[in-house]
Amino acid sequence: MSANPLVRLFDVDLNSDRNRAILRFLFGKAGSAIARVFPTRAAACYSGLVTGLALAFVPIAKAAPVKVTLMMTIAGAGLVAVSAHELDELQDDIDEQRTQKERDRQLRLFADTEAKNKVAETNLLRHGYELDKSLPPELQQAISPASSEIETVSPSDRAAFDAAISAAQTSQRQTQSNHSAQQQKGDRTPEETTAADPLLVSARPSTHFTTTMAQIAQRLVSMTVVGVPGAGKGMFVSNLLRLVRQHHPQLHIFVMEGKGDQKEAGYWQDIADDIRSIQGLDASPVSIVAWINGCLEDFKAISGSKLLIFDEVTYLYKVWQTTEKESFEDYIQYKIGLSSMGDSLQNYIWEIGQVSNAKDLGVTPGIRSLFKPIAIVSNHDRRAANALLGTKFVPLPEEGKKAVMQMCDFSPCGRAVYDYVNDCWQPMPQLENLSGFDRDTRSFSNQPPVPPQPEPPDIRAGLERLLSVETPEPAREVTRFGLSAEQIGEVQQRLSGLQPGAISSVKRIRENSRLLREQGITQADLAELFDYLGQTGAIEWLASDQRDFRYLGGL
Amino acid sequence: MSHRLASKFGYYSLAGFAGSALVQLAVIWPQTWIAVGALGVLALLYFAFLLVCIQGVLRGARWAGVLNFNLLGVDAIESAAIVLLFVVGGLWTCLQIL
Repeated sequence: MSANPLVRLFDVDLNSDRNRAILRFLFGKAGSAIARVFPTRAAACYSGLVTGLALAFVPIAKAAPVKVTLMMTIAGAGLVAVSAHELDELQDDIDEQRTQKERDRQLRLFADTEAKNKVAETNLLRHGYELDKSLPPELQQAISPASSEIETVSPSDRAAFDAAISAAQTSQRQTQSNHSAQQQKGDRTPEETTAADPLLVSARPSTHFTTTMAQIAQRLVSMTVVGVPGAGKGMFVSNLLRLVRQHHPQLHIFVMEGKGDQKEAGYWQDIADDIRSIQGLDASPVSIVAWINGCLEDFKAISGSKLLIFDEVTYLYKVWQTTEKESFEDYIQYKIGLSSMGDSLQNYIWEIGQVSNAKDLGVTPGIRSLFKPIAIVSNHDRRAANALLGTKFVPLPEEGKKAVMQMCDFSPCGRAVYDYVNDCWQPMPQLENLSGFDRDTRSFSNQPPVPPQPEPPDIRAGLERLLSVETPEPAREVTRFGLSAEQIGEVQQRLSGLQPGAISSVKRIRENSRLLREQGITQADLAELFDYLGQTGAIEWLASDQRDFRYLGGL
Repeated sequence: MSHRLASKFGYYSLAGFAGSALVQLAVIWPQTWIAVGALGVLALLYFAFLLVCIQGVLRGARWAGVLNFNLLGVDAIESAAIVLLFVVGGLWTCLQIL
């Protein structure tokens, strides 16, 4: 096709067989002649337009009799009207074709991106550590599943190291009050736990997964632990934390726990440096979000190596997304940053939740795959287990779901676990229940549980909650896209007032809003926001100059 | 360059022809002059309304912001042009015929 726009205008490929067939059907041989004379639809329209103008003008200019002039003017006007309408239709068809082409291109691009994400996700899930080229060779050897160095070499050294730490910490504790010393007699202190764990581990049935836990504890990464309710996520993480503490004594463990159940407080006590708890079901969404934001700010303020345990993310993320999407998006960005830079900074997040669906976690599958997966299923609730196994979060063994459920039956605790280190499912060994409450039997275990200590009031989080609810925060004046929440809300309100499919422009939106005008917001200021709206599919640009757009709905 | 431009031109011409045809009809059937006069008055009122609204918007008057009419957009120019061409077509025909 010619590059000349004029030539292109007249050479639009609308001289189709279909149009010729219609002409032949309507006018017979004359139709074929017409089709030959007017090879394109555009040519026919322009001919009609010119003829109509001539019919209407010439008799007036030549001062013909009034009746003749009137007839010819009406005929000419009719011809002009039809031609103009046809030209409009023609342009609509051309625009539609162009839009369709662009939409197809976008769909192809989207499909390509999705396919790439899927490949990346599969690679991460299947190969995990093996693809992590940043690891030094000695660590790669150490974490290799085939390696037995950890089992053979480290225990004696580690036991000595742990014993030394334990002795030092115990002596410190003994110098404290007599009251606390009496409590220690009946309680299971973290030091004892730390010192005893290697023995416990060795006393337990030696399964491959016990080794895996040691590997995970040794080489920390950000990960997502999912499992059906009561599968033992808390038990697994709490046991793992004891191992982590052995390998990383300086690590600051920060727990955010959204259940607020005192029966499970033992999971975190004496091992976490910070425990923040909220009764998610009783608290209002605004309070929950304020609590999350306060906790995260505190966590970010911690210097050095740190680990955030974020429990009950399924519920908390849902509330968060619904209540305050902006801060949730900030958190997702923080997560993405941690996945790429967290390892060198020794900052990690462990998310614990019930579902692995990326949409429910508020991320794309690609971003979800940045966190290493751990999945736990139980044969106590086969339906829920099947639902979890049906997702793409973790791969199934070749034998399918049945093989996983068989592993549950082989397990002494009726559970199977998938871990990213070995990229396989295996029966879960019997782990120590550090909460003191057995949810399988709904009874407290024989071992005296850690007494539920009244949690010190979280003054800072409470204050921040109050501040965020009752007073506007100046720091939030400018939120995203260089605009305040009020200004973004104004644009959203203006757009939502439009009918889906309506055409408008950035200039029109700005000028119709008194708030934007009074606050001195220019069209350029709105560009970033509208760019984002274009990307999310709320609007569709009509031209590359990004001035006029079609509102597609959804706001 | 787009067919839309030619289409617009056609519609504007149509407005001119409509004004012209009305005047020609009035020559044959004099009662039509009443309609021509009424349309002329309406066109004048329309222009006056446009001017007042534009002034209001330019001065930032609150009542002008309430009007659900996009005065600064393409719609106002377009509708004003159609009315203008309608009037011009009629006047030109008057001058030619009468």
